[in-house]
Parts: sequence; structure tokens; C-alpha cells
Amino acid sequence: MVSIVLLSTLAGLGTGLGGLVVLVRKPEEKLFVFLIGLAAGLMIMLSFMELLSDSLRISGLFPAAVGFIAGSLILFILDFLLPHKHIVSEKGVIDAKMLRTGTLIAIGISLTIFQRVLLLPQAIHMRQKSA
Amino acid sequence: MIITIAIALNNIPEGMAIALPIRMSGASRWAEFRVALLSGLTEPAGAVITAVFLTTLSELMPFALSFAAGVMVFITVDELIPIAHEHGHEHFTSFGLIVGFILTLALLAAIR
Repeated sequence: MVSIVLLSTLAGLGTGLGGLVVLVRKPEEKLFVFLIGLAAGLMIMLSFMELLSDSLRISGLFPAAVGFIAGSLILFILDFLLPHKHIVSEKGVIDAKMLRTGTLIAIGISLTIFQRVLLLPQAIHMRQKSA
Repeated sequence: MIITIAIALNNIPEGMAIALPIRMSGASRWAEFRVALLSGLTEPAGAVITAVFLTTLSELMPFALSFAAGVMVFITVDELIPIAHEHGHEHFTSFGLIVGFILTLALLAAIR
């Protein structure tokens, strides 16, 4: 149990590492839109090549399709439910809409934890079996 | 350990996706880093839940995988790309997108 918590915390720190990308200084507009495109490209390709393809291989088309549709639908509903103003208060915010977008993305990403954490205990379990 | 590193690498673009809009909203560096970090730290919580209900939850694995794919694709299409386009320089976004595709494919090619 301790090793599961430890390893998944380490993995979770990767998200913080991504956050460090813009910690250095406020990025230029052109760099900013490039980085957003980069993150979008990584996420789209990973979704299809890793997540969806694994899902298809394990379960076939139907459960994979249901999961995919549920994932996007829940985010769509969340977009409606989140208040459009003053969702989070932070000092110095000029663009509240942008902050809301970031928050929505953070919630959405957090919703996907099960996919990632499922891998860890299984891997540890397998290793203990073989040992 | 290799799986941990792989998952951590997976998380980096997500951290970027969370942090960039928050940073551009004018919030402090600390604020964006904190949100990205918090989102990452939901991971051990999920891992404990999963470990406890291992057998039940592994049957949900394919569903969880494609659920995550649906969430991520929707976020890019509905949030990330539109906010990038609000700032203009559309070609830089598209270029980043293609570099992201190439990076992912190269990484997958290197792993396999």
C-alpha cells in the first residue's frame, strides 16, 4: 500500500512538472499559443494511440465507445454547470474567462485519474505475483 | 518504476494544459503551479481507492481508458484550441499541434 501511494504521488508530480513549464516567466503570445497547441497535440495523439487503442483491444468497440462518449459528455455538462464568474478568486486576475478555462481543464484532467491509477496497482500486483 | 515514469510523462502535457490558461489570466505563478500540482496529487488518492477495490475495478479498465480519451479530446477541442485562437497567431497553434503529434509518435516508437 505504501509503495502504491509513493509511486502514484511521484507520477502525479508529473502534472506539477508540466505546470513548471510556464513558471519561468510569462510566456510571449506566440510561444503561449504554440505551447497550447503542443499540449493539445500530445493529448489528442496519446488519447487515440494509447488510451483508446488499449480500450479497444481489451473490450472491443462497444464499451470503448460508451466510455469515450461518457467522457466528452460529462465535460460538456460540466461546462454548463460551472458558474461563469468568480468561480475561483485569485489576486491580479485580469481575464476571469481564462482562469475559468484553466479550472475546467484541471477538473477534467482530475476526472481521468482512474485511467492512470488503474495501471499502477495492477503493475505492482503483477510484480508481487511473479516474485 | 518504468510505469511510474511513463505515467509522469503522460501527465506533463496535462500540467501544461492546466497551467497555461491560468497563467495567462493574470493569476500568479504560484496559483497556476498550485492548481497543476493539486490536480496531479489526486492521483495517489485514486490509486488507494483502486488498490482496495482492485478486482472490481480492473473490469472497468477499458471503460476508464476510453473515458479518459473522451475527456482529453473534448478538452482540446472545446477549450484549449479555442482559447489559443482568441490570442491570434493561429498558425503557431497548428504548428504546436503537429509537433505534439510527432513527439507522441516518436515517444511511442521509442518505447515499443
